[in-house]
Amino acid sequence: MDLKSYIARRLLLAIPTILGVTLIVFFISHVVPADPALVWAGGARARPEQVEQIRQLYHLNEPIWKQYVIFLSDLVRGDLGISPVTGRPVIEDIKTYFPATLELTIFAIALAILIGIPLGVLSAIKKDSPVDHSTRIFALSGYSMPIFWLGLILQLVVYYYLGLVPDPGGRVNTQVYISSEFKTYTNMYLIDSLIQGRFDVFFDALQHLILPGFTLAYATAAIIARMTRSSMLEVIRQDYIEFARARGLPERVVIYKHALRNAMIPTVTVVGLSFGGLLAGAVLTETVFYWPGIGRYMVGTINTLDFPALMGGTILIALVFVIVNLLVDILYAIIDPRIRYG
Amino acid sequence: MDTVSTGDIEKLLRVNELYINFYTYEGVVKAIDGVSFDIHPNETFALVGETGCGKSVTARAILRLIPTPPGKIEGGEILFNGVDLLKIPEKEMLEYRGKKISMIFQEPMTSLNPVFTVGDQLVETIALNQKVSKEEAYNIALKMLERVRIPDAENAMTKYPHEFSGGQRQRIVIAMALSCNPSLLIADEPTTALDVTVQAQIINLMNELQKNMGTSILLITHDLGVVAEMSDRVAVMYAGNIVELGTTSVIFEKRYHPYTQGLFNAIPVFGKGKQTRLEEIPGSVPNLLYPPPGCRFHPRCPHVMDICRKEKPELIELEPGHYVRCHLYR
Repeated sequence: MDLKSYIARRLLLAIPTILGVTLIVFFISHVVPADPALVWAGGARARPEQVEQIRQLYHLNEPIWKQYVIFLSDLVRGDLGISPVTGRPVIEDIKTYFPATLELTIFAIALAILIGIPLGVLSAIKKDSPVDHSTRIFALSGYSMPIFWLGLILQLVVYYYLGLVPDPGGRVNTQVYISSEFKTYTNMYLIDSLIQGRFDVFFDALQHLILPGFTLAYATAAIIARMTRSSMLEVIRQDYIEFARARGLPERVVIYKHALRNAMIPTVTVVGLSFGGLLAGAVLTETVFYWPGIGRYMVGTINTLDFPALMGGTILIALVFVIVNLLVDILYAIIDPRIRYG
Repeated sequence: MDTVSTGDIEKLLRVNELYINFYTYEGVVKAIDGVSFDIHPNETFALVGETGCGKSVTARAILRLIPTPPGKIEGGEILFNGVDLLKIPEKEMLEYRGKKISMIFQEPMTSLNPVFTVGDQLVETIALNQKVSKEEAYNIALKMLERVRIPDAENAMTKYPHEFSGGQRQRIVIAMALSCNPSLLIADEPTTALDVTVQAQIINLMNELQKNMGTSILLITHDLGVVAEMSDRVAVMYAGNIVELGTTSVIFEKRYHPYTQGLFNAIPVFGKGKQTRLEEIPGSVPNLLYPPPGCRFHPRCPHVMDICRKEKPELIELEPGHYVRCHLYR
């Protein structure tokens, strides 16, 4: 099977996956013993006719299966509905919040790869050396440290004591943003600023990204480092590595070309899985750094029983997981020709 | 002194009094215990012995491929064209590996990197070792593949190792190893993992290439059939020692050392029928953490004498060029 039809088939398979996710989340969220209309209308002081009006508007009086059918028929028309809480179309809210998280996550995953893979390789080829031991300590603290605590400590040390980064709050210095005609195309500031050649905004956004990015990246970098180490150790015992040495290849070619490519396969899995996880789970980092991202937005939707936004966000995250998994599978086949699409 | 002198004949490789230990958690494994031999230009020299006797370790030591730690070369010389390979820096060693001395391994299935094409690996080796451009390297690679009779060489260059059979892969490995015209090819069990018919093809191929290219071969094997078909001279190894060394014809005919005799008696002979049991050498290969004192073979030897338990026998030249390490022939 060729790549195109493989991708097409996988995307088709994504439809039942996402439907399944919506089904589960829809029913679980709608059976909570609370009255969303009352919450949306403003709580106990809301006038009953107002509450009733909201119920009508959002079909809350219909049986739950009918509500789901209405939701689905809107969905296939590309309509995610209007958030009763923000009063805006859900799709607009997502366009605002999702790129912020996407930018943070991509930055974090890039950082995690840049830190994790070299550390993993180094500790594998220098097994049981001081380098290996310090990497182990780095990794252990990486996945045992609570993210919010790490974020707070980093703020305290890097911002408050050392003053190396600007005020940790938000994605960019409001002065920079407001006082200039900065346009947002993708709503990812690093990209938008580069498109417009606004390097001042670029560096400002980058400075704002560093701490939350590192906070989010640390645990993943730790896992990548450990994973790379163990698969490297496995690979460098293989016959083809010895044969590569016997062929007269210098050690750096043996390690970084012949061993690393083979060791990357498990690492790619981890990176792919973490990417989805980071995206959906950035909420702690977002909260600590006042990052206006989709994680915080989603937590808000749960607190306010904002069903349309909750469903919209759920679909989005499910979609990201599906796409990332597909990318990982394609990447496998690129790295290892023995894996064929099937 | 254990010296194996082969007179005035020019020597390509001279391994002299090699000692190698492995430092493990359980203790020191004395894997190679004073091994000496010479390889002449244009000859095939076989190292024969059971698994674990140290033949592969000896071969890897020549290319300095022994992982250190746990392995350590404790003493001896490995003279290649008069240069002691154990004394030169690692960087200079790259001038020997793959260029003057090549090595092929037992498992053709796993000798090639699965994630790069055959062409990529061939071109990489040739370009690096012969310091030629990628295009030139590509042409040399094509010629080498044709030489080892890989059909449709051009197409084969774009394929990955898993798309070839075991025999074809071993041919590709041989092509890679011989691409830089080495003066010595170390072949570590090159046919063990192959089917018998394919074995014969590979043996013929290696014999032919050796004749045409003038490469000496150090053949590591436990298969006396392969030895008979390929080698000019043989050294029989047991537990880190060479116990008998001589021309293939003399060894096959006379077999002085009790271990060599045992090795030959363990070969099934066609026509003898199923009634006769194969003779086996009693006991098992000694644990080299605690090698037996004296002659390392004495616990299994049918002719064991008192002296065998106390004193390590010297290599004795029984006939010109034929050496045996055994107290029986003192």
